[in-house]
Amino acid sequence: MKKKFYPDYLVEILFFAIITFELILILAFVFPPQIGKEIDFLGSYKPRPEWYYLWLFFLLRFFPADTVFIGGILIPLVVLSFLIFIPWIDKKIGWRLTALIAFAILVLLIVATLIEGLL
Amino acid sequence: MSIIDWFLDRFRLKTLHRGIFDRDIPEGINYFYCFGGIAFTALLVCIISGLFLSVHYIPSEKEAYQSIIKIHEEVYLGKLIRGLHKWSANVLIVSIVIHSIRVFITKSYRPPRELNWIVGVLIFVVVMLESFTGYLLLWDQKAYWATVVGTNIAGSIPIIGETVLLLIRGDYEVTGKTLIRFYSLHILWFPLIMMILLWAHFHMIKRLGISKPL
Amino acid sequence: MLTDRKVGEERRFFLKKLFNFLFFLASISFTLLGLIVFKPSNPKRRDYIFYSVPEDRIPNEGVKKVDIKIENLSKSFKIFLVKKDNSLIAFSPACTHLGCFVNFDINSMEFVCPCHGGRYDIEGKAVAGPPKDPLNRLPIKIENKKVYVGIKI
Ligand code: HEM
Ligand code: FES
Repeated sequence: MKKKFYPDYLVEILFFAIITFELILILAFVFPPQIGKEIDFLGSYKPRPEWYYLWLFFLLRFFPADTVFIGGILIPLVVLSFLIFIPWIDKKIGWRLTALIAFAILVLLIVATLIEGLL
Repeated sequence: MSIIDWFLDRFRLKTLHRGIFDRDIPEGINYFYCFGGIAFTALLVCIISGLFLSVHYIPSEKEAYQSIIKIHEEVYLGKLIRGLHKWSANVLIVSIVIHSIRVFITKSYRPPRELNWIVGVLIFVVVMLESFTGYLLLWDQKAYWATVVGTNIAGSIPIIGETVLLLIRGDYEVTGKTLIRFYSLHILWFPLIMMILLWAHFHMIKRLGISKPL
Repeated sequence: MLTDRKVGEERRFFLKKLFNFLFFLASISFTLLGLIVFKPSNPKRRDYIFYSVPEDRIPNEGVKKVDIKIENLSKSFKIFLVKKDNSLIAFSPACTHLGCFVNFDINSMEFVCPCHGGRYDIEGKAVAGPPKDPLNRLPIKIENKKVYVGIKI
């Protein structure tokens, strides 16, 4: 029998939707958000972004003030255009090579995130 | 005619209904194909909890921080709603990444679905911008300094940097003006763009179907 | 008859072009309007306002962090005062890289930025990390032996 969207697939999706909701609920109960410190211009404070921006924060270390847009804007834009053009890059250089580049970028991002997160 | 049938009929969904719901699902798909749906669920939780939060939040320099404390401590279930909003955003980002990896590995971005891939990348960008603008709304130390650093990057673009900075901040510094701006972007502009992109995403999935596994 | 249909087709072609044009016009107006709305009406660069520094916070030699109360905003703001070779310098704590506030490290006698590890020596010169420009100096006024430092707030 051929699988139909309704009801065969929909029930699977609904199952995962409920699981997802429960996961979020559990996370919200077990790790409730905190109230941060009030803004102050006196003390010493170590700013850190959320974990998904850590790789960007790491990149900024390598660029002085006058070229920081390269790390903060240009490189993300290059990665973004790579992602956008994947369908055509794939056609030109083949899936394996594309996957290699994508994998390399992913590994770099994860490594940067880990380094910045542990610093 | 039951009331449900009446609605379905008046929306003329009866015929379309078949088109959407009777689609064949290709054989051999695995559980990684669920991450699009998981992302959508997380997004829904995000939107709904956000709706509740916006009832009590005050986007002003003087009151933002206090209103967060109020939501956290006084509003009934406020702490839970904050938690839902925060964690659904995290789950959303993780599941979007896994979803994109699944699409890449199954080569589903190939024609005729390349536009859907692009729409997907744009959705990802909007999600990242949502979390950047949402972060400032807490108006605490973390939020403030992250935004100072983040917007200063835009300010470093040669020639147009200062103009861009003013457009983003609404001022030379990060002030209450920035807060209102980010609030507007966070609860109106980006969600609206997101809705349009999501409509396009789902429309193309409906029309093109899910790609056959290799 | 034939020419009639042709005229009709031409008109249709023209109308289609018109719709395209109107669509582009609407998009461009929306974008321009958006830019105009987002551009702040009259952003003012802050002027220096001078605040007095308590006598005992002025270093005889070396560096002191001074907390300056800004009464009308009920905020406080930190600056660094450096006394070296009998001259007094006031530094803004804003890192010249991306604007985090630096701290003074007594052990190495350097200003250290917590964000990306930029370092400045006691005269504010960038010595390590991403910053290149020196820390910004704030203007100092001395009237009746009292020291005033200018802050942009
Ligand atoms: C809020 C974010 C997103 C949501 C809710 C979402 C939702 C979905 C859903 C429900 C599907 C059906 C198949 C499946 O579940 O795996 C799908 C397919 C697809 N998505 Fe997404 N998606 C999102 C983001 C993205 C991103 C970031 C990309 C790529 C960078 C992307 C590219 C695609 C493509 C190309 C398909 C067609 C796959 C196929 O036909 O096999 N999506 N999306
Ligand atoms: S902001 Fe000080 S080193 Fe980057």
